[in-house]
Amino acid sequence: MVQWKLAFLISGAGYGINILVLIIISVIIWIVSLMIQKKEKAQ
Amino acid sequence: MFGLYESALGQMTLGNLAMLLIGGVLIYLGIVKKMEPILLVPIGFGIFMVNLPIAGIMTYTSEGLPALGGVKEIAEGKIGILNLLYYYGLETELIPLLIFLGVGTLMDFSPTIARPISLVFGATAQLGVFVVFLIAHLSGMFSINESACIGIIGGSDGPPTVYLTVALAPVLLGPITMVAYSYMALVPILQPPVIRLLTTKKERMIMMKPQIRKVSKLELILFPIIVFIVASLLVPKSAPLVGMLMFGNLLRVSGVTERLARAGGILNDILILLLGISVGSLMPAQVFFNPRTLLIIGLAVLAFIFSTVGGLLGAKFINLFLKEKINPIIGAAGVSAIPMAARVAQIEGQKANPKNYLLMHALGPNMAGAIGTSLVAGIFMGMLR
Repeated sequence: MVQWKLAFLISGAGYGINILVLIIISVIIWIVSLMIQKKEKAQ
Repeated sequence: MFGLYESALGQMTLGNLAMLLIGGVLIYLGIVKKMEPILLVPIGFGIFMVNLPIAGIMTYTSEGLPALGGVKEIAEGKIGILNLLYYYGLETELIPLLIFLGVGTLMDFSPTIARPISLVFGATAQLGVFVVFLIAHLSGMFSINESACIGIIGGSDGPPTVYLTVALAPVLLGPITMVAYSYMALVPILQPPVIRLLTTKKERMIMMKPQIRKVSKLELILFPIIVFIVASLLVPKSAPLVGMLMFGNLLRVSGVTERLARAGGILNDILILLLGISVGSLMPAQVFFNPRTLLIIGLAVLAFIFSTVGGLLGAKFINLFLKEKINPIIGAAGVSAIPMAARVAQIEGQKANPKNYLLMHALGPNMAGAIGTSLVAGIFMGMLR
């Protein structure tokens, strides 16, 4: 049986969550990198 | 004693013969054409092993799944030696997870850390997974769980594909794994036309500095720890895959566990051998020859194409907000297929502008693609299992 509503929901939400999680990770990595670079420059 | 003279010839079917031919083609592609040889050769020979009737190496249930059992069942002749391999290696998800640990020991995330936005391309390049998931299910030929496993072929990453398929649709494990690994070798053929179609020559000519920023050791050590913690908190079901990948990478970058990192690399080779032979053994003629397998082969092409589209469009979108523009071709490398997709970006970039060296920049999204596909596997597991 084709569950088209569920399939659209999983597809949209899944892609969105995936992008959101990787944006969050990239922002954290970017901030941590900036902090480390600043500290290294200061030293 | 007359079993000694028993011959399998009389029981050979046309399906068996065709499978022997397919196994032969895979071995040929691996040995002669050098296409993913470390996987295609064992898969091809695995197909030989299970398509010779009454060889007794692998037995199946009526649904086409490998019969389960232990040493006792082997002694009684109810199952073969490859059933044991399937049971302990794949049914338990041990092989794909340990392979990912080994992969982690081989990966250098410096390009991803130097340009964290690369992680986003690793996510947008999962478009093919979700588009093909939809198409597969709406075709009416596949259940929702099976469709997820077909879609994830578009992530171009073996271990998450195997991990998800064992959990959600083990009956399709043979065809899906074979298609996923053999199509990875087709990335240099499938991606360039899509790249040229979706980017202008001006975009492809965008120069990027040949060198990336030098990443400190502290950044390299913190990266796997941060990725694992955040991914596990936000998508808990991705924790086994992301955890193994990041653990392997921490062993590589810590600077004090070189021996363990080397062991991870060797373990990887052993496990890929076991995976190859196990996957080949999942393709007896009765499982392989049906319209669904042919459809999977076609859908996989679509998945790769849409994933390339997603990566390119992601990079073009991000470019709208950047002062120093990036070459959108590197977005296409978000389709994992390490390092083939990054090489394609390098070649296409140089065709448009011979002074351009995109390889290091493309490796960032390329590595991020492995994290993206692991997250997608976790998302599907969370929603469907």
